Amino acid sequence: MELLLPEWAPNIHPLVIHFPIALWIVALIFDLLGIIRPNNWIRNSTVALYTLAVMSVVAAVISGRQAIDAVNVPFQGEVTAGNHSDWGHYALYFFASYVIIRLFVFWNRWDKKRAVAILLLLLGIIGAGLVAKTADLGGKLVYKYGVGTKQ
Amino acid sequence: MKTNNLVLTLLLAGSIIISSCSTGKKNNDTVEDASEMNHDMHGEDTKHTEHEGHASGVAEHHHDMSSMEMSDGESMSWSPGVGADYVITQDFHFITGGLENISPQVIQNESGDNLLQLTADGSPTAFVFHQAYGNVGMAAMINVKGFDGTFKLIHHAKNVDNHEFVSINRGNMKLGRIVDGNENVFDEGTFEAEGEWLSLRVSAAGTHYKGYIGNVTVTHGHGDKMQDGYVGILLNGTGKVLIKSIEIASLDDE
Repeated sequence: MELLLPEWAPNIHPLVIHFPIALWIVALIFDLLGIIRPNNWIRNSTVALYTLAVMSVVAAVISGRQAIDAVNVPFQGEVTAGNHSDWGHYALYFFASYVIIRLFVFWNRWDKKRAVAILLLLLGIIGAGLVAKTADLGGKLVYKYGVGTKQ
Repeated sequence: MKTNNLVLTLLLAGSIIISSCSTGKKNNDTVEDASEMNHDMHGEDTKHTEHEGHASGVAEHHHDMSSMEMSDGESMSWSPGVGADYVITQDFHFITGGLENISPQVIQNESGDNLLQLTADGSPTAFVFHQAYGNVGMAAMINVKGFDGTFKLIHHAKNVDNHEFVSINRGNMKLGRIVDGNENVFDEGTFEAEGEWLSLRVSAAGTHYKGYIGNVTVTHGHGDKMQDGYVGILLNGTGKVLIKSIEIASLDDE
Protein backbone atom coordinates (compact mmCIF):
# COMPACT_ATOMS: atom_id res chain seq x y z
CA MET A 1 0.00 0.00 0.00
CA GLU A 2 2.86 2.37 0.79
CA LEU A 3 4.04 2.10 -2.82
CA LEU A 4 0.79 3.69 -3.93
CA LEU A 5 1.27 6.66 -1.66
CA PRO A 6 2.45 9.95 -3.13
CA GLU A 7 5.91 10.91 -1.96
CA TRP A 8 4.58 13.85 0.06
CA ALA A 9 1.96 11.87 1.98
CA PRO A 10 2.96 10.65 5.46
CA ASN A 11 0.30 7.92 5.35
CA ILE A 12 -2.98 7.05 3.65
CA HIS A 13 -5.20 8.80 6.21
CA PRO A 14 -5.19 12.28 4.60
CA LEU A 15 -6.21 10.71 1.28
CA VAL A 16 -9.11 8.74 2.76
CA ILE A 17 -10.70 11.28 5.09
CA HIS A 18 -12.31 13.38 2.36
CA PHE A 19 -14.58 10.53 1.28
CA PRO A 20 -16.83 10.39 4.37
CA ILE A 21 -17.13 14.17 4.41
CA ALA A 22 -18.09 14.40 0.74
CA LEU A 23 -20.25 11.27 0.61
CA TRP A 24 -22.24 12.13 3.73
CA ILE A 25 -22.91 15.68 2.52
CA VAL A 26 -23.97 14.50 -0.95
CA ALA A 27 -26.18 11.86 0.71
CA LEU A 28 -27.83 14.61 2.75
CA ILE A 29 -28.47 16.66 -0.42
CA PHE A 30 -30.04 13.61 -2.08
CA ASP A 31 -32.11 13.04 1.06
CA LEU A 32 -33.41 16.59 0.85
CA LEU A 33 -34.13 16.22 -2.87
CA GLY A 34 -36.00 13.00 -2.11
CA ILE A 35 -38.27 14.87 0.27
CA ILE A 36 -38.87 17.73 -2.18
CA ARG A 37 -39.31 15.53 -5.28
CA PRO A 38 -39.71 11.90 -4.23
CA ASN A 39 -38.67 9.31 -6.79
CA ASN A 40 -37.12 5.86 -6.65
CA TRP A 41 -33.82 6.77 -8.29
CA ILE A 42 -33.09 9.42 -5.66
CA ARG A 43 -34.28 7.10 -2.89
CA ASN A 44 -31.98 4.29 -4.02
CA SER A 45 -29.07 6.65 -4.56
CA THR A 46 -29.48 8.17 -1.11
CA VAL A 47 -29.23 4.82 0.63
CA ALA A 48 -26.28 3.84 -1.56
CA LEU A 49 -24.48 7.09 -0.71
CA TYR A 50 -25.02 6.66 3.03
CA THR A 51 -23.74 3.09 2.77
CA LEU A 52 -20.64 4.19 0.88
CA ALA A 53 -20.13 6.96 3.45
CA VAL A 54 -20.11 4.53 6.35
CA MET A 55 -17.64 2.29 4.50
CA SER A 56 -15.36 5.28 4.00
CA VAL A 57 -15.63 6.17 7.70
CA VAL A 58 -14.44 2.66 8.55
CA ALA A 59 -11.46 3.20 6.23
CA ALA A 60 -10.80 6.63 7.77
CA VAL A 61 -10.84 5.28 11.34
CA ILE A 62 -8.60 2.31 10.51
CA SER A 63 -6.10 4.49 8.62
CA GLY A 64 -6.27 7.07 11.41
CA ARG A 65 -5.33 4.48 14.02
CA GLN A 66 -2.29 3.54 11.97
CA ALA A 67 -1.41 7.15 11.24
CA ILE A 68 -1.47 8.46 14.80
CA ASP A 69 1.35 6.13 15.84
CA ALA A 70 3.40 6.91 12.74
CA VAL A 71 3.48 10.69 13.02
CA ASN A 72 5.14 12.99 15.50
CA VAL A 73 2.60 14.77 17.68
CA PRO A 74 3.94 17.63 19.80
CA PHE A 75 2.86 17.58 23.44
CA GLN A 76 0.44 20.47 22.99
CA GLY A 77 -1.27 18.61 20.15
CA GLU A 78 -1.88 15.41 22.12
CA VAL A 79 -5.26 16.46 23.54
CA THR A 80 -6.43 17.44 20.05
CA ALA A 81 -5.17 14.13 18.68
CA GLY A 82 -7.06 12.25 21.39
CA ASN A 83 -10.25 14.22 20.79
CA HIS A 84 -9.94 13.77 17.02
CA SER A 85 -9.73 10.04 17.56
CA ASP A 86 -12.68 10.04 19.99
CA TRP A 87 -14.94 12.06 17.66
CA GLY A 88 -13.91 9.86 14.73
CA HIS A 89 -15.10 6.84 16.69
CA TYR A 90 -18.35 8.57 17.71
CA ALA A 91 -18.94 9.34 14.01
CA LEU A 92 -18.26 5.72 13.10
CA TYR A 93 -20.70 4.35 15.69
CA PHE A 94 -23.36 6.87 14.70
CA PHE A 95 -22.92 6.33 10.95
CA ALA A 96 -22.97 2.55 11.31
CA SER A 97 -26.11 2.63 13.47
CA TYR A 98 -27.74 5.14 11.14
CA VAL A 99 -27.08 3.09 8.02
CA ILE A 100 -28.39 -0.09 9.67
CA ILE A 101 -31.60 1.76 10.60
CA ARG A 102 -31.71 3.35 7.15
CA LEU A 103 -31.41 0.02 5.35
CA PHE A 104 -34.09 -1.50 7.58
CA VAL A 105 -36.42 1.42 6.87
CA PHE A 106 -35.60 1.26 3.15
CA TRP A 107 -36.28 -2.48 3.05
CA ASN A 108 -39.70 -1.94 4.61
CA ARG A 109 -40.36 1.13 2.42
CA TRP A 110 -41.17 3.21 5.51
CA ASP A 111 -39.01 6.03 4.18
CA LYS A 112 -41.68 6.76 1.58
CA LYS A 113 -43.66 8.39 4.37
CA ARG A 114 -42.78 12.06 4.47
CA ALA A 115 -42.55 12.26 8.28
CA VAL A 116 -40.13 9.35 8.41
CA ALA A 117 -38.05 10.83 5.58
CA ILE A 118 -37.79 14.16 7.42
CA LEU A 119 -36.79 12.42 10.66
CA LEU A 120 -34.08 10.48 8.81
CA LEU A 121 -32.82 13.70 7.23
CA LEU A 122 -32.58 15.36 10.65
CA LEU A 123 -30.61 12.38 11.99
CA GLY A 124 -28.37 12.63 8.93
CA ILE A 125 -27.68 16.27 9.77
CA ILE A 126 -26.55 15.19 13.25
CA GLY A 127 -24.16 12.78 11.51
CA ALA A 128 -22.82 15.67 9.43
CA GLY A 129 -22.18 17.55 12.66
CA LEU A 130 -20.13 14.65 14.00
CA VAL A 131 -18.04 14.42 10.87
CA ALA A 132 -17.58 18.21 10.86
CA LYS A 133 -16.31 18.16 14.44
CA THR A 134 -13.91 15.32 13.64
CA ALA A 135 -12.67 17.11 10.53
CA ASP A 136 -12.21 20.36 12.46
CA LEU A 137 -9.99 18.62 15.02
CA GLY A 138 -8.06 16.87 12.24
CA GLY A 139 -7.47 20.21 10.54
CA LYS A 140 -6.28 21.68 13.83
CA LEU A 141 -3.78 18.84 14.22
CA VAL A 142 -2.29 19.58 10.82
CA TYR A 143 -2.51 23.35 10.54
CA LYS A 144 -1.98 24.34 14.15
CA TYR A 145 0.38 21.62 15.36
CA GLY A 146 1.95 20.59 12.04
CA VAL A 147 1.18 16.89 12.56
CA GLY A 148 1.99 14.83 9.49
CA THR A 149 3.54 17.70 7.62
CA LYS A 150 7.02 16.21 7.85
CA GLN A 151 7.74 12.53 7.38
CA MET B 1 11.09 61.28 59.32
CA LYS B 2 9.85 57.94 60.58
CA THR B 3 8.56 57.14 57.09
CA ASN B 4 11.94 57.97 55.55
CA ASN B 5 13.68 55.71 58.05
CA LEU B 6 11.26 52.92 57.26
CA VAL B 7 11.86 53.25 53.52
CA LEU B 8 15.63 53.35 54.08
CA THR B 9 15.46 50.24 56.26
CA LEU B 10 13.41 48.36 53.65
CA LEU B 11 15.83 49.34 50.88
CA LEU B 12 18.77 48.18 52.99
CA ALA B 13 17.07 44.87 53.82
CA GLY B 14 16.23 44.34 50.15
CA SER B 15 19.84 44.95 49.13
CA ILE B 16 21.08 42.43 51.70
CA ILE B 17 18.60 39.77 50.48
CA ILE B 18 19.54 40.32 46.83
CA SER B 19 23.27 40.19 47.53
CA SER B 20 22.88 36.99 49.59
CA CYS B 21 21.05 35.35 46.67
CA SER B 22 23.81 36.20 44.24
CA THR B 23 26.73 34.63 46.06
CA GLY B 24 29.45 33.89 43.56
CA LYS B 25 27.77 35.92 40.86
CA LYS B 26 28.89 39.21 39.46
CA ASN B 27 25.51 40.88 39.42
CA ASN B 28 21.85 40.31 39.87
CA ASP B 29 21.24 39.93 36.16
CA THR B 30 23.50 36.90 36.17
CA VAL B 31 21.45 35.43 38.98
CA GLU B 32 18.28 35.85 36.96
CA ASP B 33 19.91 34.18 33.97
CA ALA B 34 21.07 31.28 36.08
CA SER B 35 17.62 30.66 37.44
CA GLU B 36 16.22 30.79 33.93
CA MET B 37 18.80 28.25 32.94
CA ASN B 38 17.22 25.66 35.15
CA HIS B 39 13.56 26.48 34.88
CA ASP B 40 12.45 28.09 31.69
CA MET B 41 8.77 28.75 31.45
CA HIS B 42 8.19 30.55 28.23
CA GLY B 43 4.86 29.38 26.92
CA GLU B 44 5.02 26.59 24.41
CA ASP B 45 8.71 26.70 23.71
CA THR B 46 11.49 25.89 26.05
CA LYS B 47 14.91 27.37 25.69
CA HIS B 48 18.36 26.56 26.89
CA THR B 49 20.52 29.57 27.47
CA GLU B 50 24.22 29.80 26.80
CA HIS B 51 24.71 29.68 30.56
CA GLU B 52 23.94 25.99 30.78
CA GLY B 53 26.82 24.03 32.17
CA HIS B 54 28.82 27.09 33.10
CA ALA B 55 28.26 26.73 36.77
CA SER B 56 31.36 24.75 37.61
CA GLY B 57 32.87 26.00 40.83
CA VAL B 58 30.20 28.65 41.25
CA ALA B 59 27.56 28.56 43.92
CA GLU B 60 24.68 28.64 41.53
CA HIS B 61 21.32 30.05 42.41
CA HIS B 62 18.83 27.23 42.02
CA HIS B 63 15.23 28.20 41.62
CA ASP B 64 12.71 26.88 44.09
CA MET B 65 10.31 24.75 42.02
CA SER B 66 7.81 24.67 44.85
CA SER B 67 7.03 28.33 44.18
CA MET B 68 6.41 27.83 40.45
CA GLU B 69 2.97 27.11 39.07
CA MET B 70 2.41 26.22 35.46
CA SER B 71 -0.82 26.90 33.60
CA ASP B 72 -2.35 24.78 30.86
CA GLY B 73 -0.53 25.19 27.57
CA GLU B 74 2.79 26.02 29.20
CA SER B 75 5.89 23.90 29.25
CA MET B 76 8.98 23.85 31.38
CA SER B 77 12.44 22.46 30.99
CA TRP B 78 14.41 21.34 34.01
CA SER B 79 18.09 20.55 34.15
CA PRO B 80 20.18 19.95 37.25
CA GLY B 81 22.02 22.77 38.93
CA VAL B 82 24.97 22.31 41.25
CA GLY B 83 24.45 20.56 44.58
CA ALA B 84 22.78 17.21 44.10
CA ASP B 85 21.11 16.90 47.50
CA TYR B 86 19.83 20.43 47.15
CA VAL B 87 18.60 19.78 43.60
CA ILE B 88 16.63 16.75 44.67
CA THR B 89 15.17 18.09 47.87
CA GLN B 90 14.37 21.55 46.54
CA ASP B 91 12.76 20.62 43.24
CA PHE B 92 11.24 17.24 44.12
CA HIS B 93 9.76 15.31 46.97
CA PHE B 94 9.94 11.58 47.52
CA ILE B 95 6.86 9.38 47.44
CA THR B 96 8.87 6.27 48.19
CA GLY B 97 12.49 5.76 49.16
CA GLY B 98 14.85 8.62 49.84
CA LEU B 99 18.17 10.27 49.08
CA GLU B 100 20.04 7.38 50.67
CA ASN B 101 18.62 4.99 48.05
CA ILE B 102 19.82 6.92 45.01
CA SER B 103 22.97 8.74 46.21
CA PRO B 104 22.51 11.74 43.89
CA GLN B 105 25.49 13.54 42.40
CA VAL B 106 25.71 16.33 39.88
CA ILE B 107 28.52 15.71 37.42
CA GLN B 108 29.45 17.33 34.14
CA ASN B 109 29.89 15.80 30.73
CA GLU B 110 32.57 16.77 28.21
CA SER B 111 30.40 19.58 26.90
CA GLY B 112 30.07 21.03 30.37
CA ASP B 113 26.41 20.09 30.78
CA ASN B 114 25.30 19.26 34.29
CA LEU B 115 24.04 15.72 34.68
CA LEU B 116 22.18 14.33 37.63
CA GLN B 117 23.72 10.94 38.43
CA LEU B 118 21.68 8.58 40.56
CA THR B 119 23.13 5.37 41.95
CA ALA B 120 20.22 3.12 42.83
CA ASP B 121 20.65 0.55 45.58
CA GLY B 122 17.75 -1.69 44.58
CA SER B 123 15.05 -0.14 46.75
CA PRO B 124 12.14 1.32 44.77
CA THR B 125 12.60 5.07 44.88
CA ALA B 126 10.36 7.72 43.40
CA PHE B 127 10.69 11.47 43.44
CA VAL B 128 8.21 13.88 41.91
CA PHE B 129 7.94 17.59 41.17
CA HIS B 130 5.83 19.58 43.60
CA GLN B 131 3.06 20.61 41.19
CA ALA B 132 0.17 18.30 40.28
CA TYR B 133 -0.98 18.03 36.67
CA GLY B 134 -3.97 16.76 34.73
CA ASN B 135 -3.29 16.31 31.03
CA VAL B 136 0.45 16.27 30.84
CA GLY B 137 3.43 15.49 28.65
CA MET B 138 6.81 14.61 30.09
CA ALA B 139 10.12 13.94 28.40
CA ALA B 140 13.41 13.01 30.01
CA MET B 141 16.84 12.81 28.44
CA ILE B 142 18.38 9.86 30.24
CA ASN B 143 21.23 7.40 30.11
CA VAL B 144 20.37 4.02 31.61
CA LYS B 145 23.24 1.98 30.17
CA GLY B 146 24.64 1.45 33.65
CA PHE B 147 21.31 0.63 35.23
CA ASP B 148 19.87 -2.82 35.74
CA GLY B 149 16.17 -2.59 36.44
CA THR B 150 13.08 -0.60 35.59
CA PHE B 151 13.15 3.11 34.94
CA LYS B 152 9.74 4.82 35.02
CA LEU B 153 8.41 8.22 34.18
CA ILE B 154 5.38 8.51 36.43
CA HIS B 155 2.45 10.87 36.23
CA HIS B 156 -0.92 11.34 37.92
CA ALA B 157 0.89 10.04 40.98
CA LYS B 158 -0.81 10.16 44.35
CA ASN B 159 1.64 7.77 45.95
CA VAL B 160 3.70 4.75 44.97
CA ASP B 161 0.59 2.54 44.87
CA ASN B 162 -1.45 4.92 42.73
CA HIS B 163 0.16 6.34 39.63
CA GLU B 164 0.41 6.03 35.86
CA PHE B 165 3.64 5.33 34.10
CA VAL B 166 5.73 4.57 31.09
CA SER B 167 8.56 2.25 32.02
CA ILE B 168 11.59 0.89 30.21
CA ASN B 169 13.70 -2.13 31.00
CA ARG B 170 16.31 -3.41 28.52
CA GLY B 171 14.55 -2.43 25.31
CA ASN B 172 11.06 -3.18 26.57
CA MET B 173 8.51 -0.46 27.23
CA LYS B 174 5.34 -0.71 29.26
CA LEU B 175 2.56 1.82 29.49
CA GLY B 176 0.00 1.56 32.24
CA ARG B 177 -1.21 2.47 35.67
CA ILE B 178 -1.05 1.20 39.20
CA VAL B 179 -4.18 1.52 41.30
CA ASP B 180 -4.05 0.43 44.94
CA GLY B 181 -0.86 -1.45 44.13
CA ASN B 182 -2.37 -3.42 41.23
CA GLU B 183 -0.72 -2.94 37.84
CA ASN B 184 -2.83 -2.53 34.71
CA VAL B 185 -0.74 -2.48 31.54
CA PHE B 186 -2.34 -0.56 28.66
CA ASP B 187 0.27 -1.49 26.07
CA GLU B 188 3.74 -2.98 25.70
CA GLY B 189 6.36 -2.58 23.02
CA THR B 190 10.01 -2.95 22.22
CA PHE B 191 12.57 -0.47 20.98
CA GLU B 192 16.21 -0.35 19.99
CA ALA B 193 18.26 2.27 21.73
CA GLU B 194 20.58 4.21 19.46
CA GLY B 195 23.49 5.57 21.44
CA GLU B 196 23.76 5.99 25.16
CA TRP B 197 21.15 8.69 25.60
CA LEU B 198 17.43 8.17 25.27
CA SER B 199 14.68 10.71 25.03
CA LEU B 200 11.91 8.93 26.90
CA ARG B 201 8.53 10.63 26.52
CA VAL B 202 5.08 10.02 27.86
CA SER B 203 1.84 11.86 27.22
CA ALA B 204 -1.47 11.59 29.02
CA ALA B 205 -4.21 13.40 27.15
CA GLY B 206 -7.69 12.61 28.40
CA THR B 207 -8.10 8.87 28.04
CA HIS B 208 -5.20 8.55 25.58
CA TYR B 209 -1.75 7.53 26.76
CA LYS B 210 1.41 7.21 24.72
CA GLY B 211 5.02 6.27 25.32
CA TYR B 212 7.73 7.41 22.95
CA ILE B 213 11.42 6.96 22.42
CA GLY B 214 12.38 10.21 20.74
CA ASN B 215 9.67 10.87 18.19
CA VAL B 216 8.78 7.21 17.70
CA THR B 217 5.59 5.96 19.34
CA VAL B 218 6.35 2.66 21.03
CA THR B 219 3.24 2.23 23.16
CA HIS B 220 -0.27 3.64 22.89
CA GLY B 221 -3.09 2.76 25.23
CA HIS B 222 -6.34 3.95 26.71
CA GLY B 223 -7.80 4.16 30.17
CA ASP B 224 -10.11 6.25 32.30
CA LYS B 225 -8.92 9.74 33.05
CA MET B 226 -7.31 9.94 36.47
CA GLN B 227 -7.37 12.80 38.95
CA ASP B 228 -4.52 15.30 38.83
CA GLY B 229 -1.30 14.04 40.32
CA TYR B 230 2.43 14.53 40.47
CA VAL B 231 4.95 13.79 37.75
CA GLY B 232 8.40 12.42 38.35
CA ILE B 233 10.74 9.46 38.17
CA LEU B 234 10.68 6.03 39.77
CA LEU B 235 13.70 3.74 39.86
CA ASN B 236 13.49 0.08 40.72
CA GLY B 237 16.85 -1.58 40.23
CA THR B 238 20.55 -1.16 40.78
CA GLY B 239 23.23 0.86 39.08
CA LYS B 240 23.69 4.32 37.64
CA VAL B 241 21.19 6.52 35.87
CA LEU B 242 22.12 9.86 34.32
CA ILE B 243 19.52 12.55 33.79
CA LYS B 244 20.35 15.51 31.57
CA SER B 245 16.99 17.23 31.43
CA ILE B 246 13.29 16.84 32.04
CA GLU B 247 10.60 18.65 30.09
CA ILE B 248 7.07 18.95 31.36
CA ALA B 249 4.16 20.29 29.35
CA SER B 250 0.82 21.03 30.94
CA LEU B 251 -1.57 20.24 28.12
CA ASP B 252 -4.45 22.49 27.10
CA ASP B 253 -7.93 21.11 27.25
CA GLU B 254 -9.92 21.69 24.08
